[in-house]
Amino acid sequence: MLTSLPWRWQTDRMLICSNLTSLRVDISFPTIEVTEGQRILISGASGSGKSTLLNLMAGLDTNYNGQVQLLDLDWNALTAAQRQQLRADHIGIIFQSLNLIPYLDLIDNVELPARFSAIRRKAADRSATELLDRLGLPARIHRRKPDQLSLGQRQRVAAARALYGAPKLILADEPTSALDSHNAQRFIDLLTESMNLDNQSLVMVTHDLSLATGFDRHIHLDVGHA
Amino acid sequence: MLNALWQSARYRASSLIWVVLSLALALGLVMLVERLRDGVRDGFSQSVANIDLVVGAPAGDVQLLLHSVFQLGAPTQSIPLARLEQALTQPSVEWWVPIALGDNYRGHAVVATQANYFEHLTPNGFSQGQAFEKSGQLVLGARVATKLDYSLGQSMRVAHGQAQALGDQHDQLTFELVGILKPTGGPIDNAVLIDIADFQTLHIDPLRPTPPAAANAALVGVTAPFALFQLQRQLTAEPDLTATLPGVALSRLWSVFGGAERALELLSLALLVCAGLTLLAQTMSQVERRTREMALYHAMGAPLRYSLGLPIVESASIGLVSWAVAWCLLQVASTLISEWLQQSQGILLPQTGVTEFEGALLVCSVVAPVLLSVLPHWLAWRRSQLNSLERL
Repeated sequence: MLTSLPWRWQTDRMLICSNLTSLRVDISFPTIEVTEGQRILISGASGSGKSTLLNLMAGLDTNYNGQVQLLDLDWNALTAAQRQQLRADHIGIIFQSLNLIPYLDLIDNVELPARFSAIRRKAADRSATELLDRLGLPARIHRRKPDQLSLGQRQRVAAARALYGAPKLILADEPTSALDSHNAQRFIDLLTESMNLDNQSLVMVTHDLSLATGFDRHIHLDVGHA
Repeated sequence: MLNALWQSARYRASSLIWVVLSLALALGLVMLVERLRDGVRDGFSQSVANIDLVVGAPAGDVQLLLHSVFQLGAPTQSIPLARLEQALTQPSVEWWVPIALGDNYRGHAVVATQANYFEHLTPNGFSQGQAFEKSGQLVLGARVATKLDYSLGQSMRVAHGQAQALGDQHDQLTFELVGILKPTGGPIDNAVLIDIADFQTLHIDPLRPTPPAAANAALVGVTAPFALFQLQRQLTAEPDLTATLPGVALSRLWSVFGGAERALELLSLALLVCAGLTLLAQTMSQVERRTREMALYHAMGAPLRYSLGLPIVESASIGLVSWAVAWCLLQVASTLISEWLQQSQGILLPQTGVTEFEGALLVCSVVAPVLLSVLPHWLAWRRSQLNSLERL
């Protein structure tokens, strides 16, 4: 089992993508650097490679040329098991569609990341209950199963799960696509509020530019970007 | 992981219950068939367990054994008791009992023998009473006693001949029931045992001269195993006698039943294949859901042993639980039918813990689901690795 990864992070640089080309879909990306606590919005039309970029950043897709480094570690330099551990320890992902485990209640769903990472287990200062509360989910529903919740509520549970154990980097793939504009803005507000507490960085992919306020940087990907 | 398994099982309990139930039924039936086969086999081999040699008039091995021990088939010629006595009075013979057959009480074979029969050939002993000691007493096998609902002291009129109806008055003797044997699962459960002297009396024909006392066979115990073959050779060499080893004759008999046995085996195998298919169907129906789940776990950084372990341990658990349910069902079924089985079929179901066969079945119940689920889930895991975010 892999327990210790080389700990070489001296800067506040969380993630850097440079000279990055996806070999799978043949798209090149601009250099992107994410520092601690920074929020970056990535937009672009469909086919511009938004999700591909997020996959590369998360180390889920290692079929690339160039560098993608999380905490100065390049995904391609790691073994599959090391990648799993690095992702479990430092990245929280909020998915486009609702991805809660249907048979686990809200608390169990939120605490899921701690099963795969001792670091996040230790760093879980904020309990699942507190995170759910903060995201506006009252305690009386914490033991319910996800299918008893509304879409907006479920997406907030998914956000609480990504935040649990204070991972350094939150990646969000169109997290508001299932929500109406009012709820989408409210979701982003709650998410960023909670992230302020632990100074987490956020990279969010969206096509909804109205959400851009409150982000430190906005990167627009053109189709066929070179 | 156990918590996740338990939550997952509870979440789809309504469908899982039927999967487990159908697997348990198949496994339970296979176990029951196997126990029945054991019971039948044990019944037969128990019947000859204490007999070293069967001695009778020249006839086929199987015929002699079937008739003298199982009261089946054509009778062999009778031999004067004096002749048997002469042939069997030698140092290598530890004991012998004569067996005379041919009579019948309400459809149950009358076995005429001597009191020392009970000493050597009924290891289970008596459930009530004791062996006959004097003329006019008789002993019943367990099934006969239950079927006729007789208790000790009952008087019974035994007729000469095979006819089920009572014979003529002068051919009858009145007996007193003095002992009832415990069930053995063997043919003796079905027999009426009388003293061979009374058997002679039954057969006296007032119009003819009384023939010398005779028996159809003698069941023999030897002093030492090595004396057995020599004794057998020696007795068979006599022109009017033959001696057969019951174990050998029995295995010949089994070879006759072999076809039926194999049919049962095939049936069991078919049941197990059905169980396997049920399991496969259940696994395949879950793979799509599992693929999404695995993709999610993968994106969350779960190691392979977790993503893949979850469904595999789940399959193994289903097998384990099914086996346990099957075994419990078997216990219930055995308790319910053992009485009936013994009464109507004369089969004693072995009432044991987990038999060797059931132990092997347990291993299969855990290993087979693991093997059946490894490949589809591994493929699912590989799919879940590609384009994780797009899939989710």
